[in-house]
Amino acid sequence: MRGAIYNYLNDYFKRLGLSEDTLAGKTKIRSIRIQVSLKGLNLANFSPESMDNANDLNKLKSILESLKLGAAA
Amino acid sequence: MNSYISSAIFRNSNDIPSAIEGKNAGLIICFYGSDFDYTELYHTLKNTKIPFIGCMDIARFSNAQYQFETDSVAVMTISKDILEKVGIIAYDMRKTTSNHAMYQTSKDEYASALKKLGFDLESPDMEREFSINILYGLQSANSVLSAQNEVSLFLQSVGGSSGGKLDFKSSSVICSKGMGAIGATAVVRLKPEFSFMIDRTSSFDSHEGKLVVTKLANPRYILEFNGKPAAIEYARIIGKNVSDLSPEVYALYTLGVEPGDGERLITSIMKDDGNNGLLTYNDLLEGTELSIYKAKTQFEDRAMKLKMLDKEKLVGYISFDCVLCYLARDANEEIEKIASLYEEILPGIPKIGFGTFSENFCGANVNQTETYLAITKR
Repeated sequence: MRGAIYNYLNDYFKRLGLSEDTLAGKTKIRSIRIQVSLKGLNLANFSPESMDNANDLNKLKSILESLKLGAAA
Repeated sequence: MNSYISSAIFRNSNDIPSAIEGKNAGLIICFYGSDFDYTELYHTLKNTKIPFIGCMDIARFSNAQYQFETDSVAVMTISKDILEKVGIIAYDMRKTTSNHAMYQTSKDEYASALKKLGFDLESPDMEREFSINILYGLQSANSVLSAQNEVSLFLQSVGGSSGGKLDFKSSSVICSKGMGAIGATAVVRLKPEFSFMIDRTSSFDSHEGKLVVTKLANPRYILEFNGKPAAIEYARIIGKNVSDLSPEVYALYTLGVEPGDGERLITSIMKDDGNNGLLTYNDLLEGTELSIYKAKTQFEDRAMKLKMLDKEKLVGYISFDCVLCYLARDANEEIEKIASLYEEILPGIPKIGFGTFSENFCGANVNQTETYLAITKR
């Protein structure tokens, strides 16, 4: 699945109403990205062009769910 | 200098109260050497009734100088004119305290302090509210940071772990709520006319290859990378033999993950176990795919980040800079050059910092990094 991780994360940010256009949004996105990395998904490996596997996508979903950020879970 | 924040070096605790008198201080931050009498410092600061946090270190930064002597203290005062609210919390971090106990105590204390101060845990003010952590350096910071992330993922935090001599045998943290093997957190809300920024700098080039953590003995003890003995696989990927591995090589070729936005969260290798296992300064999870980085001069990256700050509006700068960065500057004979950089780019702006045994940045524990807090007037 090309860009699956990149796209899922961006959709997740949108569902939370977060945008890089504001300092608050940018900082909150940074916090989420840091948590995803700390919980074992090195986002250096994923881009809009990367061919991502289902295991990594499931791992991302599980990490985001563990953050308990409500609307986007 | 400005009327909001000031910093200075002292050799005697008794000189501090008169020096800070009239500054309307609402928060004191201090960093002291391993031979400085911190018990006396604690009682002196306690008597001022001003909230404070501080710790022992191996070296510290004040204004335009790196201080390596062990018998001085760098003190920064932040005026009440900037601060709307300040809360100090402390929690037990003795080596006998379990990770779970540290997690639970720091979580309870943190949640209670934030509620008491009226912070919105789910949606803090991202421009005015933050935490400064000073954690006991002979314990892992990860359990405290995990607890804080649980309480409020979006409240930004910055800080570091206390140091001391490089024998890693003694260290201490002091704050208004106690001293010794503790963690201390200052929770702050700035007045509406002020805002803050938390950021980080590390100086590495990407190196080819990936190391997947495939077997851990514990979160800081790697047995295998890519299904092979950790030291052998690490040496292979950086083009060395296992017999070449040393603290210098570990500092030169370090590991990390990236959140995908240009940041790098560094995990440094401390040493090998004599049996091809590797011990790290940071917690890891099995299955994590680590990137590899090669250290380079700190000059360009620091200059770039400092230039991004608005020096016309900046009123104070607090640095939490890895002791390995201090040692690398020393080894590369860059101490003066980089210290001068701060003063050239941020002339006259009060600056303070210390050499940390690990740094924290927005909930992440990192190594070989400078994390910093910059306070600006809008």
